[in-house]
Amino acid sequence: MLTAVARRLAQALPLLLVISVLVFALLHAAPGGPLAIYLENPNVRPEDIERLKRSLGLDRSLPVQYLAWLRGFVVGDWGFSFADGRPVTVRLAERIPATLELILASLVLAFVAALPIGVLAAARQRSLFDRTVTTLTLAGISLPTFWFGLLLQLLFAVSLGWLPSSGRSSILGGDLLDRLRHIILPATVLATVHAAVWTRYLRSGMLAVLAQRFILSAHGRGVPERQVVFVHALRNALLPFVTIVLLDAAIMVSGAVVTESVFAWPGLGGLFTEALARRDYTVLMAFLMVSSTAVIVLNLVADLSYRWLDPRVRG
Amino acid sequence: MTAPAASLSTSSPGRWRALPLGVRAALVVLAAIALAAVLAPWLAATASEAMDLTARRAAPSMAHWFGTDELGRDVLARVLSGARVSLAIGFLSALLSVALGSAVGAVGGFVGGWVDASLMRLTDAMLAIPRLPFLMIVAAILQPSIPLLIVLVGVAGWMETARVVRAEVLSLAQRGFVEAAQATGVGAVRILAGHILPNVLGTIAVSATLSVGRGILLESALSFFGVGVQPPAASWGNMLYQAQTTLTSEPWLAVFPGMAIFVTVLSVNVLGEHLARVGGGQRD
Repeated sequence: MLTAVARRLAQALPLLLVISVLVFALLHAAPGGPLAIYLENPNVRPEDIERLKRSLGLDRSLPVQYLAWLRGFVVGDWGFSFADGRPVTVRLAERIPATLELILASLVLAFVAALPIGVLAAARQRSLFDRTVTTLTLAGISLPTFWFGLLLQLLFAVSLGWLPSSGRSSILGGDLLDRLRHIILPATVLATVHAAVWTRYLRSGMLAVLAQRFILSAHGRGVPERQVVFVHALRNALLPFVTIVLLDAAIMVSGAVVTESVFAWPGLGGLFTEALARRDYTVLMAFLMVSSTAVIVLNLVADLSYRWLDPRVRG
Repeated sequence: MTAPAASLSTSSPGRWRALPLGVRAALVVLAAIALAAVLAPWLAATASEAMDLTARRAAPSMAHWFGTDELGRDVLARVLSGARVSLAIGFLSALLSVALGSAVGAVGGFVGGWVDASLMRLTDAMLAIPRLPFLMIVAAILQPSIPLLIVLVGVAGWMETARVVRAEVLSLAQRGFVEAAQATGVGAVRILAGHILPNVLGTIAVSATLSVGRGILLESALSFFGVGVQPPAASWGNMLYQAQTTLTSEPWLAVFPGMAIFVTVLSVNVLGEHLARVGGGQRD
C-alpha cells in the first residue's frame, strides 16, 4: 500500500510541474506579458512600467522567472494580486469557503439523485421509467449550464419570485434559511450535469453486474429481487461509481466558474472571472494551479481508495 | 466505411424506418439546422445585421417570431446566422480534436515504451488542467478570430479520443491478424494504417460526435464570457452574453439562442449514443 502511494505520488508531482510550465509559459508569452493591463492605461508612464518590471523581476529571462515563481509557490509565497495588491493566498483563501459550500451542496444533490435513479433504471431495463431516465440524462448532458442557470433565474426568481436570483445571502439576512434559499438555484445548476453523467454511469455499471453469473445464481437460490438488486448488484457497482463521483468533484471547480458567474456567487469561480477581466496574472496562475492540484489529488485519492477497498486490485 | 456510419448515411427507406424514433428526429433536426444555417441570408425576413429602429426590444410576434434586440435586429435571423458560426466551430474543431487524438492514441498504443508513456503523461496533464478556465485565459490573451477559435477548441479536446483510441489499438495489437501481418514482414506503418485503424473507425466515429457536442458547448461558453466570437458577428454564446443584462425585461433574447444550443447538442449526442450502441453490438 505504502509503495503504491509513493509510486503514484512520484507520478503526480512531475505532472504538476508539466502543468505549471505550460500555464506559466502561456501567461508570460502573452503580448505585454503580465503588465499588459498597465500598457493600456495612458496614466501609467513608460518609466513606471520599467520600474514595475524590475521590481517584479519581469526583466529576467523566462526560465529564471519560472524558477523564482516555483520556489515561491512551494513555500506558499504566491505573489500579490495586480488588482488590489493583497497577497494572492489571502484572496484565494477568502473565496474558498463559498466555493466549497456550493460544490458540497451540488455533490450531495447530484449523488442523492443519481444513486436511486441509476439503480432503478438498471433494475427495470427498457421499462418506461428506464427510457425516460435515459432521455432525460442525455438532455442533462447536452444542457449549456449558463443558459440553464438563466432559465431557472427567469422562472424562479423573476416570474415566480420564490427564490433570490443571485448572491450567497441577503445583505441584512444571513440566517440559515436565507442561505439555503440562495444556494438552491446555483447548486441545482451545478448538480444537474453531474447527476446526469453519474446516473448513466451507475445504470450501465449495474447492467453489467446484473448480467453476471452470480446474479443468476442468486435468483436461482430464491433470493428476493430487491435483495439481489440492492445488495448483490449494488455492492459491486458502487465502487466504480464512487470513484467517478470523486473524480468529478475536482472538475466541479471548473464548472463553478460558469455557475458562480451566472448567480454572482462570491467564490473562486467569481474571483477567476474578475481576475480574467483585469488580467490579474498572479491570481489566474494560482487559480489554475489550485484547481489542477485538486484534480490530481482527487485522482490519487480515488485510485488509492479503489485499491484499498477492492481486494482484487490490491495485489 | 464502417457499418454504423453506413447505417446512417443510407437513403433506403427500410433502413431509415429501422432507426429508432429519437435518432430519426435528431437527424431531421440537425439537417434542418444545417440547411437553415446555409440558407440563413435568404431565409430570415430581415438580415441578421439589419436594424429596425421602429421595433426595438419587441417581444416575439408574427413579424419577428423570436422578437428583436435592443438595436431592433431580428433575433431569429441572428440565431440562424449564429448557427453558421456555432456549427462551423463545433464540426471543424471536432475534426481537429479527433485527428489529433487518433494520432496520439494510435502512436502511443502501437509504439509503446517511453513514447507511449510520455504521450499518456501529456494527456494526463492536459486533462488535469481545467479546460474552460484555461481556454478563457488563452482566448482573453489572443482575442481569437473564428478560425483561431476552431483551432483552440480543437486543440483543447483531443485527450478523450486519444485515450479510447489508445486502449482500442492496444487490444487490437495483441490480436492474431496483427501478429500474422507482423510475421509476414509487413511494416509498422502499413499495419497501423491498413490493419488496425480500419478497426478503430467505429470508436473514432463515436468520439467525433461527442467532440462536436463538446465543441459547440465550449464555444458558446467562451462567447458567453465575452472572450469567444466577438460582436457584431452573432454566435449563440455571445447572444446569451448580451442577453444577460436585460434578462428581466427581454427574456426572449436569452431563451432562443440557448434553445438552439441545447437542441443542437442534444441531437448530436443522440446520434453519438446510437453510434456507440450499434458499434458496441457489432464488436461483441
